[in-house]
Amino acid sequence: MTELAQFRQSVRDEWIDYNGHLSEAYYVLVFGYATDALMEQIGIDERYRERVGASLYTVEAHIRYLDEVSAGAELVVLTRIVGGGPKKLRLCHEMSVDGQLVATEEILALHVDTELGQSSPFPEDVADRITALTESAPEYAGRAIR
Amino acid sequence: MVDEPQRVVTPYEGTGHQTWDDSAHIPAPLYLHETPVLPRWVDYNGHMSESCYLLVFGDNSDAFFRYIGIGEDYRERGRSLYTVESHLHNIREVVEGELLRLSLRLLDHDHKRVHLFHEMSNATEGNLLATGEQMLVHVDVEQGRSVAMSEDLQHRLGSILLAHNELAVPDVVGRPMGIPRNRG
Repeated sequence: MTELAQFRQSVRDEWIDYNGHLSEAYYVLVFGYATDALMEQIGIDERYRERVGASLYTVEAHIRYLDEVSAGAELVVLTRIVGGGPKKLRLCHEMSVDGQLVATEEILALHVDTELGQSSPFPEDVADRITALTESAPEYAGRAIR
Repeated sequence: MVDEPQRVVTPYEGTGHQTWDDSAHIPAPLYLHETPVLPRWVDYNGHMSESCYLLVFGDNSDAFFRYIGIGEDYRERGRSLYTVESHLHNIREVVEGELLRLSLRLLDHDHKRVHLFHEMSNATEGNLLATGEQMLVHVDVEQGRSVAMSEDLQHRLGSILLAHNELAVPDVVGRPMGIPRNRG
């Protein structure tokens, strides 16, 4: 259903913590790379950021760690747009290793004018692309920590 | 994140743990960690990268582990606390060199779960920069499954919870994410 490309990244040794696994912050680093890849696909690339002077800023993130990840593992991130507004974008990232889900991240991002430091509406073409790509949210989204 | 060491190292690694004193006053919340924003944490805009907020919260958790008696020797016995869930709110951007002050409060615990709340503030002005709500599970590392914490550890967490229950619950705790329909 999704038209968005998967993001791939292998786990680097320097991301491993004292428990011998991918450290919690680095899941978010990789999810951040996947967000960058998504931004490019909806038209918010480096040229856009320079031309428009706006970018996406994550205001909220909810990560669930479902399995440990070892050094060298090949991570595949599937990204879905699950909602939005004139200035907002809600994403769900799913990270897998060998087809096994290892983590999910739900993100609420704000389109921000970097000069003014305040939120600004998406341009029409970007807003249209977001609308066209929006899917229903998975069952884990929109939940609190229990 | 560049010039990282060959493995993730927390500032407290190798420092062992504190000896628990049952008669000692328990601050509410706990202030166990301060750090300047390091050059390797900032992006091309000079702002701290998104993942580094969580890196700093993780260091704050490590300081808390040592406060309750979990250090290297504890992990060598094959037990550790793993984060299973994190809910982050980024309130304000942070620049290189800014001094961060972390607070930590225990929201809840049972025999194998620990529910924490971190607040990151500017150490000079005191304004809130980010919050992190986390659920951790005590695990048997070898078997890769959750196990009960020792009676000692549960007792310490119980004492901390008693002290921290005096604090008002932050309004972001336990709240799901969503887009309010009445605003942009």
